[in-house]
Amino acid sequence: MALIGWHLGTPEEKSRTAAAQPAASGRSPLPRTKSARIIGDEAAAERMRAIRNTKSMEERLRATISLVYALPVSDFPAWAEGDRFNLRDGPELHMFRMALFDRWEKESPETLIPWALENNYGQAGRALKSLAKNSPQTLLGHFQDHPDPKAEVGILAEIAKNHPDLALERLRTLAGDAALLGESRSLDNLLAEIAKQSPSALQSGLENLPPALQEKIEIALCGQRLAGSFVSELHALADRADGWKIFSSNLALHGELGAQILENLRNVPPSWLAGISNNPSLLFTKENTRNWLAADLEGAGFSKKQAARIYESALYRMYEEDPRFALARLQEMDFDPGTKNDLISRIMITAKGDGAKAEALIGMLDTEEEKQLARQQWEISNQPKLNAFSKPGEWMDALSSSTKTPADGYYALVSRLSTLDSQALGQLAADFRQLPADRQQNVARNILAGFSAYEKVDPAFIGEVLRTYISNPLPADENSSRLDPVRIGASYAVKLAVDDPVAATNWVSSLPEGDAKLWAYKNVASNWRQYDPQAVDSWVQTLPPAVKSQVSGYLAEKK
Amino acid sequence: MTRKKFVIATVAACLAGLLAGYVSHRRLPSSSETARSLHPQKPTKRGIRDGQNGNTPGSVHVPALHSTETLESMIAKGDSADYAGLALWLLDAGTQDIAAYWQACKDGDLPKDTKQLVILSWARKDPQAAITATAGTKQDYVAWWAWSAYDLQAAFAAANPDQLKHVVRGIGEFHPKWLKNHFEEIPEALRDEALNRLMLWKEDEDPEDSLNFLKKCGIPYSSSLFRNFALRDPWAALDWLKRNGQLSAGTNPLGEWIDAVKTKNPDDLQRFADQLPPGAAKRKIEEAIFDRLVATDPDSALQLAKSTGSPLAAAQRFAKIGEACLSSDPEKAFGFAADMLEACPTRLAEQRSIEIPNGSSSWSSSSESDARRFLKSLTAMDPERTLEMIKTSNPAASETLSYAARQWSETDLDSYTQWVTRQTSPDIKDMAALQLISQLSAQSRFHEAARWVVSSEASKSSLYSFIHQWSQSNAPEAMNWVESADLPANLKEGLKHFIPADP
Repeated sequence: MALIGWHLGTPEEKSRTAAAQPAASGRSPLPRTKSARIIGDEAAAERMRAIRNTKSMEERLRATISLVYALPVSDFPAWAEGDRFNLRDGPELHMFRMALFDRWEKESPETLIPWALENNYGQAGRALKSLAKNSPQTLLGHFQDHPDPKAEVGILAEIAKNHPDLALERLRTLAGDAALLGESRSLDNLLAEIAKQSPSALQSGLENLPPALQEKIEIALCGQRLAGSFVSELHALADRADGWKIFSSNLALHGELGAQILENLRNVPPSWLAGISNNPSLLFTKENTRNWLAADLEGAGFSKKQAARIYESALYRMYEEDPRFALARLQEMDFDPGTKNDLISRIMITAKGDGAKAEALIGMLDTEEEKQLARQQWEISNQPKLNAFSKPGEWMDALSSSTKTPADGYYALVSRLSTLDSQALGQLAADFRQLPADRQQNVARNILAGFSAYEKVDPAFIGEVLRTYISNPLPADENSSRLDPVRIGASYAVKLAVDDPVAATNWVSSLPEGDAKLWAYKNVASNWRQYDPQAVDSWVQTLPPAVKSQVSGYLAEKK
Repeated sequence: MTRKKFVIATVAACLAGLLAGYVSHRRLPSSSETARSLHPQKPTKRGIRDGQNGNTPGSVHVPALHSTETLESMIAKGDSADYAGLALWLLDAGTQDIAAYWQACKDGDLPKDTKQLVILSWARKDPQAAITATAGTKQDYVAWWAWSAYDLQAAFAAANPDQLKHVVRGIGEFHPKWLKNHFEEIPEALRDEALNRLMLWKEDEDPEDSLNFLKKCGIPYSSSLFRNFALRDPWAALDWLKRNGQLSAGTNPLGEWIDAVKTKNPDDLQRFADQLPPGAAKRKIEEAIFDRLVATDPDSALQLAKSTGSPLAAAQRFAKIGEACLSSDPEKAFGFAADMLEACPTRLAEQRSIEIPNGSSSWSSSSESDARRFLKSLTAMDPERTLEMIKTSNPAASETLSYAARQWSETDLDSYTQWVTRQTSPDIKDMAALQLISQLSAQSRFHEAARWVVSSEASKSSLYSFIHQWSQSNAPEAMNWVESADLPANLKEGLKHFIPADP
């Protein structure tokens, strides 16, 4: 097997492999047995044909509901998978799924639960919520037979909404399971729910629980007390050594505490102000962000920098909702130029496609520099986004430009490259070959400016662009190694080696001779070795003698 | 054909269809419900009776059911009505009865799905009545969505901008073919609504076509549609992943693909693995095969783990075997842990590393590997034994030891602290102390952390970041500590620069 790895790279081997593999049609030259699922699929296809052959929508709907009645419960999981009811146009599918799940929940919740836990989103997630409300014992019975603390903690939080005592009882039996504490967020939600519904029960017997769980319960109970009587609980916490820790944990759990803090700024212990300003996004809700922007924070004890952090975070939170208000507030504040310019740029993007709105916003700015920046950002935001419907020429113009920044950045631009099909990418590659050298360099530079987004683009295109760049790189930049051809060669070769070592070795051998090629070889070898050391040893033996000794020496050093 | 001949032919065809359906049905698990539905015209307890459907001869026959419920009996059921039973009654009911039912139940406790069903059924017969009846209620948008199921052009033309959103949602859900051919006719701001509804259900008549369409619209992948594709045609689905750059290490689509193949026919996995070239896809499929082996034949799995050439892959396999017996036989599991650590003593996760003349970088490509998960379970069960075992396999501080130390310190800091105190190897003690400092700082126990920071020269390397973290939480306290600490004057001055005067 090891040798196959690199021999597959040769054209002869490739064609042999292609011949040995079935066409992309599900046909395989190897004999296979039919599983029960496949036999069931064939019967299902017959049933679907019968529904399709009905003459009117009313008949189809009736046949659909009749099918739901006709199915045995044991077939429900297979029908819920999605590959059987293949009538997609019309309302039949909607009714089929709703009726099927309604029957399933009522007639066989014990088989629905494992399926829903495996597919815990959408309809399955709703079914679990419904069972948590209506049949909590069935859910708990499932977890007793099939322990899975990770999933159970989430479900218990749902159960606690209507049956807090039941959830608490089960939590106590799970308390010794270390995995429980690993599910921190779900556990916090569960405890918060029980604290809300049944605080005294949660409080009792605390001393018998593990310390880490006791601590979380204390946080949850405190959260409940804060919700009931914010100021008195705040004073109580202020006297405790762990007061800030408990309060900040609750701040992360309960968004509404931000509004309470704002109303009671003068009661907040001064030593907490730094902590509050360090993570200001926790303070805001849609309703109170403007109030934070209007508050006199320095007057309430925050330092100038702390106040600025909160104002800045608030502006980022609400500028889309009310760009005029945000811009007006921004003008009154003393932010550093970088932050101010970034916010101006973002605010201008909200006026995309609306010249009058843009001009009104620009008119609010004080300096010509800011106005120029705002106008420029607005123009960029109006550039059409390239997509699979765009012409290859438009793509190449954007990719090879040295001045036009894409409206949503290079990451988004390069990500969208992965939505092109092989024909469009082939055309793009042909256009790339016709470009002058400096524009080819721009293409590589812009693709690399999209960070890792290029990893999802067809290697045939990206591999060619990077190879061309490595042959003719830009001058070395002391401030950035991103365009260093040696780094580019090694990084891309390693990415390929992890996914497809054959492609990696082929690409590296296509590089021009030099350091980039040598280090790409070395890095392919060291990364591939963690998966298949024998294959790497065999491959190294096939390298040209000079390269072989360098790569072997490198591997020996790293052992 | 004469009328008489036609009737005879039709009856014969129906009988043939019924027989074919019955024979076909016998191949499936039976249920009392199904058996009951095979007796034509017999009323059932559910409030349904069988009737005739329009099946063509030779097809599988599922008798068309009719409701025997009345308006009054349906209303009496309230929110306990079965979805399917109500759907049948709504098929048979007249618009006046539907209106009366809605009037009686709209303010009750009917589930949301059931209310949608009433409006969806009503809109088929009289969309304007459904729109009028729900106008100004919480369900007013449902009628527009429902109308689009039957006459999307009319609904599209009649809707105002608010209503159009719900018509477009309906188009995505009920008319994928139309959507694909007329996508650019939908206002740009509403296109995502349509695409989200296209992905609402797993079902699709041509999942590959839908995946390609979504990709053109900027959505590179849909988990539910891909799963459907993989269930129907695994080779084509695998090719699709490869063509679309999704056949990559660490991405989810391949996991979806494996799961689909396992669902359909688990024996197929080996066939696929045998025919794939080396790489991420083959590795992942081989691991799925190994998972089955652990469950079905642990002895063979152990032999395979022992003969695995890659140390890291061998460690992952020992971990899977160990995890499988951890709760039933912890001693045995610790034995497999020793095998795991012997196979790969320093690192238990895949890593991408880049080394070039001007520098190097590396990062784990799967932080939650099977081996790390196993190590986490062992640490939760017996942390001291686990850490000592790691030390035995490799006396130097390692990434593996650091990982386990973090798990322990996060769950029981006091016991961990005692263990750190007992360590005699400076190398290990320094590594363990750094973890302790990190955890104490995370808990805002800065004074305790400070004592560890100054406990060795290696720990002092974390002084600057420690003081920075402390000053972010409480700058005056951090400053007081620096001023009173037994540190060289120049170091103190340097640290003070890290504490902002105006935090």
